[in-house]
This record gives sequence, structure tokens and C-alpha cells, in this order.
Amino acid sequence: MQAEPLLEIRNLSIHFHTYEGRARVINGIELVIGKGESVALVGETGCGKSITAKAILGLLPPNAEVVSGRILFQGQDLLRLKEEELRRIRGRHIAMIFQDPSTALNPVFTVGEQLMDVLIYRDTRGLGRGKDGAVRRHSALRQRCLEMLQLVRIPDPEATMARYPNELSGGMRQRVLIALALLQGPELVIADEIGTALDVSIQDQILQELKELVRTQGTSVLYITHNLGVARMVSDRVYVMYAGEVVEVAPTDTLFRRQLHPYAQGLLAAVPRLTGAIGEGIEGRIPDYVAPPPACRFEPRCPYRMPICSEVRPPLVEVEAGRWVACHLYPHPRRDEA
Amino acid sequence: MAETIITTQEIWVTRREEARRAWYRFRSSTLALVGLGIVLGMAAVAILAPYIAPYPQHAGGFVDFANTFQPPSRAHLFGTDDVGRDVFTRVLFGARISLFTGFVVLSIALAIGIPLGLIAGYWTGWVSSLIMRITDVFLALPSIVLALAVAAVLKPTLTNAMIAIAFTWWPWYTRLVYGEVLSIKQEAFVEASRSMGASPWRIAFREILPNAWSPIVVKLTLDMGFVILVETGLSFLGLGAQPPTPAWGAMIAEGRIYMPANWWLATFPGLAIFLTVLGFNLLGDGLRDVFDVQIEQWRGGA
Amino acid sequence: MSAALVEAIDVRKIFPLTTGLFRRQVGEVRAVDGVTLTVQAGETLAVVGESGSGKTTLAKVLIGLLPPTSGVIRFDGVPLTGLDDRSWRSIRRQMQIVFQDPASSLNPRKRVKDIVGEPLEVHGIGTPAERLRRVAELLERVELPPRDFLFRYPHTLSGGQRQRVAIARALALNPRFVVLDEPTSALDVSVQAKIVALLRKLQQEFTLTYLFISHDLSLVRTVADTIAVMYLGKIVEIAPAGELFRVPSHPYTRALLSAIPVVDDAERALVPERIPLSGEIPSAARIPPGCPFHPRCYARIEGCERIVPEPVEIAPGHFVRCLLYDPAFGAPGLAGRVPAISRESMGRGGTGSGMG
Repeated sequence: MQAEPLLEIRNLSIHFHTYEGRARVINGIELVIGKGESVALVGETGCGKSITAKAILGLLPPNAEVVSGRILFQGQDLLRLKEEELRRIRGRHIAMIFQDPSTALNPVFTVGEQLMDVLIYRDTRGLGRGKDGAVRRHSALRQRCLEMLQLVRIPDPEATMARYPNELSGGMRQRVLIALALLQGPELVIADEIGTALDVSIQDQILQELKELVRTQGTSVLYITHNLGVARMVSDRVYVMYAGEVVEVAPTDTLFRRQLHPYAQGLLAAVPRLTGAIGEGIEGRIPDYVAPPPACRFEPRCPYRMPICSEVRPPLVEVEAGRWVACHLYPHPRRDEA
Repeated sequence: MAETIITTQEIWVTRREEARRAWYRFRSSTLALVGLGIVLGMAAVAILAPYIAPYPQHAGGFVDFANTFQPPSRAHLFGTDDVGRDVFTRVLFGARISLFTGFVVLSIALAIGIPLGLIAGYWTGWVSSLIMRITDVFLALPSIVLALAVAAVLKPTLTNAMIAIAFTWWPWYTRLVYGEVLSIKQEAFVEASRSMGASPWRIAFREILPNAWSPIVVKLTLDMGFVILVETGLSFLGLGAQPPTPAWGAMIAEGRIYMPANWWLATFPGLAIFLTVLGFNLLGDGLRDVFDVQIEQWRGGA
Repeated sequence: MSAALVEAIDVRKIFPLTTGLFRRQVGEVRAVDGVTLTVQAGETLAVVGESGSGKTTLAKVLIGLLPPTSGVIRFDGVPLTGLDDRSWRSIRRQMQIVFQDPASSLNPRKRVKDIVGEPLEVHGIGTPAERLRRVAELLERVELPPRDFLFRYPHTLSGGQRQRVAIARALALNPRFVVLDEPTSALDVSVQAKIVALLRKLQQEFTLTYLFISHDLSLVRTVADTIAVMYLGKIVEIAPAGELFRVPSHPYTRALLSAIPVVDDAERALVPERIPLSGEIPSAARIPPGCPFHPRCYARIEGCERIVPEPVEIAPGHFVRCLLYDPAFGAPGLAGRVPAISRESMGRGGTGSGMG
């Protein structure tokens, strides 16, 4: 899409230290998000997509170890930054919209207090000091909060500022979360399964509005979702993840028209169809990360597996312009080097 | 399907595996391990006191006026007291009293508190209100004051001290269990049990209670320390265990007038109290961390 | 035409809202507001709705977990009220429910064998050894090898496995009628497909009748024989599955269908063009007067805000509660009232780069 990538994940591998041993959860993933681009990271439970998001923001749990890779954002490797530097980036340049609106907002503070808190803490406006300056600054910040609430289509921003989260409906709360994320004008927003806790029609509404909003603001978005329909609706490109690896990348429409990787095919086939047909699902379960399949991680469940699939890990290669797949079914230069 | 579905041995392997896993989690906190060590050490001391104490006969009534106020030495690790008894021995035996008290008091508190809390939490209506209001009344009175009052009314003995403390302790468990039951009974599995016709008693005791154990266990562990402190207070004031019983609190009461010159009479019992309470607190905190993780894990879902 | 197994006639379930020390009633939540339906033996009836629609409450009322405030419910011809204890227990055993969230519907402190065996234990069936055998049998039926699963705790199971355990538990007493409350909404799409296949298989094997509750219309299309759409306590439309999709008549149904994200381009013609709904779903404690949907309805006519529409049969087995189909109002239907296709909806359904 755009020439210059905003976020680039290169060869990221993350292991977790667990009772059973070393879990090789993320296994060399690559991901690129351009300026103003909306990218969906699609995968089922346990595929590692949430961990990837947390890795970007430096929010990994203590037993996680980044064994290799880089996450480049505006020229900096986020993995190599110190906590204070990361904190400066969080919120201001990369923001996260959380999944469950009922728990992501603090119930004892009003909406206004939570929004203002973000701005006051950051002191982004840097207006004048002194008592008069302080007042001016406060009202300017407040103005910004109100503007933001309006942008996310909250009907009565003034009144909403004074409300507590539990006085709002789920849809309103989700909008407040979006406002919170966009408040500082970040270049990248990570939306983690947003809308899954809401009714379908509300989710639909909010996603459409968010899509429009980021388009006008030029914000890049990384949508984390397990819902293919959502991915189709909001993204320009889709990354399909399985068992800690990226198995297919394609522009959204292209992917939904035709999938290359057998996992992606199985996934799409399992979506209930309006004709009443429904696929069979995919046999088997996600692999044990402590003892994963040695080469292709999907091999045990793949209906098209070949001997080479358990010997050589298929690299992610570009088979058409903008279309990448990691599968031996598609010829690529390195395959025969094995 | 006539053959064995699963052998007893396989069952034991599974159980052992689960125990190992739980231990692994617990192990990850050093402080908790320290706490466990202290508690186990104290328990060992209490049980083995008659065998490991150098002068077991000093634990009760004994006098040796030739040997009073000896400072700590090889013969008397913690010195001797105002009538010549070995302080080290008496501290060891004091562990028995303290731990025993804690055990008895908390057993009574659990036996009363848990059923009341379960009933109040699961059944609504006047029964629940009645139980909780009574509980509130007991909670409103400061436990030490109440214990003092009860102990003062009854004859001052160790047993009566235990009764007095238990009297004030059970409401906390009722309230704890009540709160847990209120939230657990909303869970889907409770509804599922109801939908298959289970009786309320069955649900309360066999579905809900097993899920309420974690905070109870944590509280129990922390409470041991506090009960010991209260017992110490009572015996310090002369209510509770009477001389010559080597209760730590009584030893401090007797020994403090000899401070600071003969510091060892009061200091070592004091240290013992400190160590014991610390041990239980650390253990309780460690257990809480273990349980929190567990809860987070099973609720964490994807 | 098989016999009706479950019948509901004008069922209402109203929860009072009370306040204050003396529990003064200040309002009411009309969770189920006059529902009449029939579930034929051996078929699957789906109830579709969003939050506040009352679908879960309806399910609980139908299987006797909650008493209805008014109305009649009959199981196999027998009314559920006024039964003596023994008859009640015997009927209740024939109706079971599978809950939505497998993570919370299984007691985390119990092993699988105790969870699945609980119904048997509660009703005092068999000796412990016999129960264990039955549990193993049930686990096999839901495709979980007993050796591996009998002694596990729920938190060691995946979502799909947990749901299979919940299904096994529901089958323990050999019910005839099973209510499935959003059985797959907490599951991944590929697991969902497998559970759906399992449910179908079990329905055939044991001649089960299903009440399938869901918010997911496209999922429901694959399992249901009849679909009922609920909104704020009322069934606004009910029809055989294929018919509902072919001729969605109630404005709400149409809007719901139009919001289904189409993953297969070839199917785009099978749903209406996108109709965005304005506003939020009102709380069930403040149901709008007249037709409950009228404040958000794009096809309102004069009278919708006053009159509660009665069900009208517009085709065999196809009923709609909407004044647009009421002969007393000239039955104009939806023609000309569907919002025009906006530029926005042209780019909808995934042509995410903006222009269609």
C-alpha cells in the first residue's frame, strides 16, 4: 500500500517459561503496517495474536522471553527500549482499545475524569503556567475531550463526561474506550477484539464508525480478531495466524475470494453459509507449544500434507503481488534446497 | 463396555501430577517458601518440644534459686528467668500453647462461621438477614475487648481464653463466606445444578463451598498469626494461661519488669511471637498469590 | 407433521423492580411479553435476538427453571403448572439445558466424571460403578475418549471440549427436549462447526428436539427448521428457516439479516442491502409503547407508536407482528419503505479500500 511502513515486526519469536517447559508460542512472525492502513490479524484462540499485540506495547507477562526479532516503530526497535521510553510511546503514539468495555473502564471515576486524566498526565498541550494558565489549560483539555466524544458519535458529550461507566450502555462504553485511545492522536491503534462483548448490530455500527474515523484521521489500525466477518468489514489487508506463525497474508478481498493456505481454507469453509451449509471444521487441535511439530505447525491437521511438510518449515513467500503464504503446496525458490 | 475404563494407578498418576503443578506454582514465591519453612519449623517445635527441650522439667513449676537470671550461655541458650527456669525450654513449650490455641480457636470459628455464612448467602429472606445482623453485632465489638470481657467473666484459664477468642472470631468467617457465596451463586454452573434438580443443600455444600475455599484458606493462615497475638495479649494481661504455664505472653508480662538489665526474659518470647506471626503471614500471602493465579487462569479463557 | 412437543401459549414473564427497605415496586421488566409458539418433536426451533430480547428468559421458562407470570406451557400435552412433585420431577428430567459459556457452566472444582454424573447422582440413579460406566458412555457419544477425560478438571480443557462435557451432562438423563443457549458463541469458528456437527448427529441418534438460542442468524440458518426472531420480549417474526431468509418481512428481521457479514461473495445476493439501525436497544424495563421496535424502525407508519401489532400469517407457517402486514391498515408491506442504498453501504461487506 504505502511506501513507508509505520510498524514492522521482523522475525519475532517469544517463548514462555511454564511448568511443562519452554513454550515456543510465537515462532518467527513478520508483520508490516503502513501509514493509514488497517490490518487485521486473524486467528483462533491460542494462536498468539493477543500476545503479539502485547509485545508491541511491551506488556508481556513476566514469564515471557523474547528470543529474537525486532519490532520497528518510527525507526526505533520497541523491544530494545527501556520502560520509561516505552511509556512515552504508549498512548501517545501507539494506543490500545480493549476488548471488554465493562471492565476496561474504572468504575469509580467518571468518563470525564478518565479522559482528562490521560491528557493532564501527558500535558500534551503544554500551555502556560500560573493560575490563569492552569485554568486555561484545563478548559482547553476539556474541550479536546468533548471533541473526541463527539467524534465517536456520543450523543450528548457534556452529559456523558459527568457519567460513570456503569451508567452507560455497552455500546457507549466501547465508544468511550475508542475516544480514550484516540485522544492523544496516536499514529497506530491496536483494537483487541473490540465489539465481541456487544450485540451484533451495535458492534456493526461501532466498527463502521471506527473505520470511517480512522480514515479521516489517517490513523493506522491493527485489528485483532477471530471473527472473519469483522476482518472483512474493516481491514485492507489480512494476516492469518496459526499456532504462533503467520501462514497467509493478502489484501482483504483477495483473501476472501480465494484462500491459499489450507488452514485459511478450512477456516473460511467453517463459517456458516446463508444457504444453510456449514463446513466441517478442522480436525485436531492446536499444537502443544512445548513440543510443537518440527516443521510446518499445521502439518498434523492438514488434509494436503506431504512428507516435506514435517521436514522443512515452509517460509513465508510472496507468490503474487501482495500475497504471501507459508506452505509447501506453492512453489518457492528455497523449497528444493532442503 | 465391560472392561476397566481407567485403572486406579492412572488416577493416582493424575493426582500426583496435579499436586506437582500446585507445588511448582507455590515454589515461585521465595517469601512464601520462607513462611512455609517457619510455620513447619514452629509446628515441629511444638510437637517435639518434650523431646528437644534441654530442660523439659522447667516447663512447668520448677525453681532453682541458685541459677536465676543467668544470661544466655551454652548451658542455657536463652538464659534463665527469675526463678531459675531455662528460658529456651519455656519458649519451646510456649509454641505448643500458641499453636494449639490457634488451631482450636480457628476450628471453632470455622465450624460456626462457615455453615452460617453458607446459609445466609444461599438462602435469602429473613433467615439470611437474621444471621447477618447477628454477625454484624459481633463484628461491631472489637475482638480484643470482647475476648477480655468474656475471659474476665469466666475463670482465667487457657480453655476459657480460647473460648473467648473463638467467640469473637467466627463472624469474620461468616461474612467472608457470605460474600463468596453471593458471587459464586451467580455462576452458570450453580444454575446448571439447579436445572437438573439438585436440592439447595446439595448446591450450597457441594457446589458452592468447594469454590469458596481459597479465600478461606488464605484467611485461616493469616488468622493463625493474629489469634496467637490475641492469646498473647490475654496471657500478658493475666487472663488465659496462668503461671507456671509457659505461654509467651505471660512470659513477657513476667519478664518485662526486669528489662533492660535481664533482657532475655522478655525478649526471646517476644522474638518467638514475632517469628511465628511473620511465618504465618508470609505463608498466607504466598497462598493467596497461588490461588489468585489459579483463578485467573481458569477464568482467563482465551 | 409430527406432534407438538413443547407448546407455549401467551407466555409472559415479568420481573418486578423494587426499591427501598419495604421493596416497593417501581417498575417492571417485561422479559417475555406474550409469546406463543410450538416446537414440533424432532425439529429444531431457533430463537434469535439481541440483548434484552428475552430469549434466554424464554428458554428458562419453557423448561421450567422459572415459573411464568402468566400463560400456559405444555410439554407433550401436559401443562407444567399444578403438577405434583413426582410428575414434575419426571417431566423435568425430559428437558435439559446447555448453557452458553462452557467456562462458567462447569464447576471448576469438580472433575469431568462428577460433572457429567451429577444429574444421575442427584436423581439417585444407579450405583457409583454404574454411574461411572454411564458417564464413560456419554463421553464417548460426545467424542471425548473416556480414559483421557474422566478425571480432568475443566480448566485443563479447551472451549470445544468443555462444551462437549456440558452436552454430555445434558444428555445424562436421556431427555427429549434440549435447550441450547448460545452453545457456540464462546467458541472459535472451526470448533463451532464441529460442535454443530456433533449436535446434529446427536439429534438424529436420539431423536432430540432442540430449542436453539442465538444471536447469530447465519449460524442458525444451518441448524434450524424454524426460526423465531425476538425483540424486547415479543416474537416479531417466525417462519421456516428458508422462508425467513428468502422473504424477511419484519423491518427488524431485515435489518438483522442485512448486518450479516458475507464472507462468500457468491452469497451476497442472499441478504438484503445493509440497513443501519439507529439508536440503541431500549432497556426491557422501559419498553416503548405500541410496537416495541417503532422508535428505531425505518418503515414506521402512523399508528405504530400506539398499537401493539398482533401476529399476522402472511404465508403458511410464516407469522409477522407488524402493522405493515395488518389487513386493517391496508397491508402495504415493506415495499418502498426500505432505506435507499447509501454510498456507504455500497462499500460495505469488505471492500475495505473504500470504493465499491
